[in-house]
Order: sequence, then structure tokens, then C-alpha cells
Amino acid sequence: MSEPPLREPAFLVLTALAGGPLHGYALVEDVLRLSDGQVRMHTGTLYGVLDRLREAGLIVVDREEIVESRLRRYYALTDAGIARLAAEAERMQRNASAAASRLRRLRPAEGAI
Amino acid sequence: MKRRRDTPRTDGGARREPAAEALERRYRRLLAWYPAAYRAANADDMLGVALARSASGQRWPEPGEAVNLIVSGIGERLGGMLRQPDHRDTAAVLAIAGPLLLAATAGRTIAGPFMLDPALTSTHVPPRMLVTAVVVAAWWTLVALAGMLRWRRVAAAGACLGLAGQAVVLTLAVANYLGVLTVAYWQAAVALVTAASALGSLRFQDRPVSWRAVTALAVAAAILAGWPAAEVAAVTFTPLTANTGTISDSLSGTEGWLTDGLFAGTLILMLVAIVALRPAVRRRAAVLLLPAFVTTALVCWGFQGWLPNGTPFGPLMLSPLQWDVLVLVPAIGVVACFIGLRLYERRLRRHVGRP
Repeated sequence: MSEPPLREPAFLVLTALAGGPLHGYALVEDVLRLSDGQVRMHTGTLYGVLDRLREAGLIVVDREEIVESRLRRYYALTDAGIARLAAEAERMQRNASAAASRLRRLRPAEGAI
Repeated sequence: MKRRRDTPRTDGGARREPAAEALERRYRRLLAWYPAAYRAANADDMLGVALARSASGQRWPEPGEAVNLIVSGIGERLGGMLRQPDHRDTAAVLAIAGPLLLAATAGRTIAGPFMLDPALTSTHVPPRMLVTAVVVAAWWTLVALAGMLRWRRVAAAGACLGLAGQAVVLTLAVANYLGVLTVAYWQAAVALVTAASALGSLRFQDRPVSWRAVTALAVAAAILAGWPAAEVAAVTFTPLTANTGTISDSLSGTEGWLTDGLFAGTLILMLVAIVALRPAVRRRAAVLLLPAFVTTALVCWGFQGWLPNGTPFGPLMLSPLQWDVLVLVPAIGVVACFIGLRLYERRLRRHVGRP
């Protein structure tokens, strides 16, 4: 059975990590950028997503640093995470192509009315 | 309540806490909604993100962020509980035992009148109530069966719909007569626990109880359901006039023994089902059942002062002290049993850890 599609926050977190290891706040900022300001993740949501992705083996803790006497944890994609992101991107690409193709056929008909 | 001023004090009073410190303290308080183990692993990292998201000079967390941390923390606590195999197994057992209990309760409504002389029962159980009871009993039996067949999604969907149906039936009954609430509220509570357990055990792969244990439980439920019927099976009504008649009971001498025998049989079957469970699940089942048994015993044997209010099947009148006892005993019982379970299991773990 195929895996269920990733939810948007999880997809965006994986996409952000595809650019390299990031810490929590950098992830929030990158997800905001990637989504054109549409998805601003709350702290609780972010860590819920990170926990689920870690449990699924899609990401790992890359390293930990102490910045201003506070722990900062960096996350990175695993090979399974890269494969899952690629599969998900392909699936979304197919869906988007199908939608675009139908819309192209719809538009000339609309124009004729 | 006095509102705290956010402007700096100039009157020489106590030094005001800097905004960053106040904000951090409030975030730490919000993170307390998460389980201790989770906080130990993640709180520092999360705090860093939450503070970095905040505006300069901000003293209070944004409402959305605060609600999100509280909801996520509660979710983590509940999810953490269900990730523990013992809790998850117990939830899977409850998702099967709960529907059986609810089916038996509906079965009691069905069984009694069918075994009685129609002249005696027609005024007590309206046909609509009987139909509802048949539907409710059949529904919960199917939910239990789905759980046993490991159709988790079907069982969870059935339990959620059953909960909604049970709430509707209770609401309609309460709208008709408020007193029903005192004798039927627990069914909605059991349905709620069942639905939550079924949702919580969605990822559970194995069968949580053996068919033999479930059969014992189902027979116990059937006895509970048939009990009123058995009690009155031997009763016959012979009309003399339009409004009068004679009642004869061929088992009048042995009825008490029959009832006690059925009660003992039910208890034995329930014990057989409980003994068949894994030790950790058995302990949890006992913790959930003990307060119910104590409350039942209290109602049966402790409340000699109950006063019937005149109607034969209406709720009984209680003194304020009896109400207090009736509410406090199960509430304290549940809390005491869970604390006892926790202490006992901590001791067990310590023993296992010892060389």
C-alpha cells in the first residue's frame, strides 16, 4: 500500500531541510519564505511535525550548539527523507500537470460563450 | 484583579522584571503543558524558537502561540500515553469491552418485556423505546465484533457514531424527563471512553484479547441483559376485570437463589475474561472496574435510606449527604486507584531494575 500524502507543514519542513541542515527558528522562517508568507508555523506545531518526521526516519538531529547559553538543535534530511520528498514532489507535480491540462481545455470553451 | 502596568515605574517601587525575562518565564509556564520527559529533551530548543519569533519588548506570548503550545502539550501527553504499550493495549481492550457493556445495557431494555405477560409490560416500555434499544444493542455488538476482527477504522468510526447516537438518545430522554440523567449518564460516559479508546488504538495491529475471553465477557453481558427477563420469567398475570388481576410466581421461593446464582455467574465470567488479559492490562482493567464495583455495592447495600418518589421505575430520592457520597466515592476511587497503580508499577520497575 502506498504511503499517505504528506501534509503541507511536513512537506514544507522537508523542502526547507533539502537546502541543508537548519535549526528550529530558521525552519520557521524558511517555511514562511517557501510558502510566500502563507504558512507561519507555531512552535508547538513545528515540534509536532519534527517529532513525526523523526519517528518516520525522514529527518535526524544533525548537531547541537549552545548559543547564548541556550541549546540550538539542527535537523537534517535522511536518505529516506530525500526519497520521500522526491516522491511527494513528483506526485504533486503530476496532480498540478493534470489540473493545468484540464484548465487549458476548459478555458477556450469558456471564451467561446 | 489588578492589571499589571507595562510602563516603567518611576516611583522608586520594586524593580520591574525586564520584558525578555517575563516573556521567557511565561513561555516556560506554557511549556509545562508538555510531559516532563518531553520538556527535558526539547524545552530549551522550543523556548529558543518561541522567543526568536517574538517581537522586541514583548512581555506576553501571542494568544495564538499560547493556545498552540497548550493544545500541542496536551496532545503530546495523550499521544505519549497511547505510545506506551500498556496504555495502548488497555485502550484496545476497552474499545471491545465498552461496546459489549453498552449492548448489554440496551439488551436489558429489550429482554424484560418479551419474557413478560404483555398485560403487565405494555404500559411500561413503549414500542419506540424497544426499537431504539434493538438498534443500540445491534450497533454496539457490531462495533465490538469489528474490534475483534481487527477492523480498527470500522470499529473507531462505529464507536464515534455510537457515541453521537447515545448522546442524542440521552438528550431526547432528558428533554422528556430530567430524572433520566441520574440513571443513564454513565452510558454516555462509557460511549465516550469507548470512542476515545477506539481512536487511540487505531494503529494497534494485534488482537488485544482472546476469543475465549471475549466469549466469557459476551456471555456475562448476555446474562446482565437477560437478568430482568430471568427474574420475571416465571411471573404470570391473570386478569380478573379490566383493571385488576392476580399475579402468580411459580419461582417465588427460589427466585432469590436464581438471581444470586446469575450474579455470581456473571462475576465469575468477568473474572475469567480479566484473568486472561496481560498482567499490565489486567491491572488497568481492575483499576477501572474497582470504583464501579465499589459504587454499585454502595448503592445496593449502603443506601438503606433511599426513598422511592412514588413512581415504580423513576429515579430514587437521595439526601444531600448521599448525593455527596455518590459523587465522591467513584471520583476519589478512580484517583486513588490510579495513584495506587502508579506507585505499584514504580515499585515493580524498581524490583526489575535491581540485580
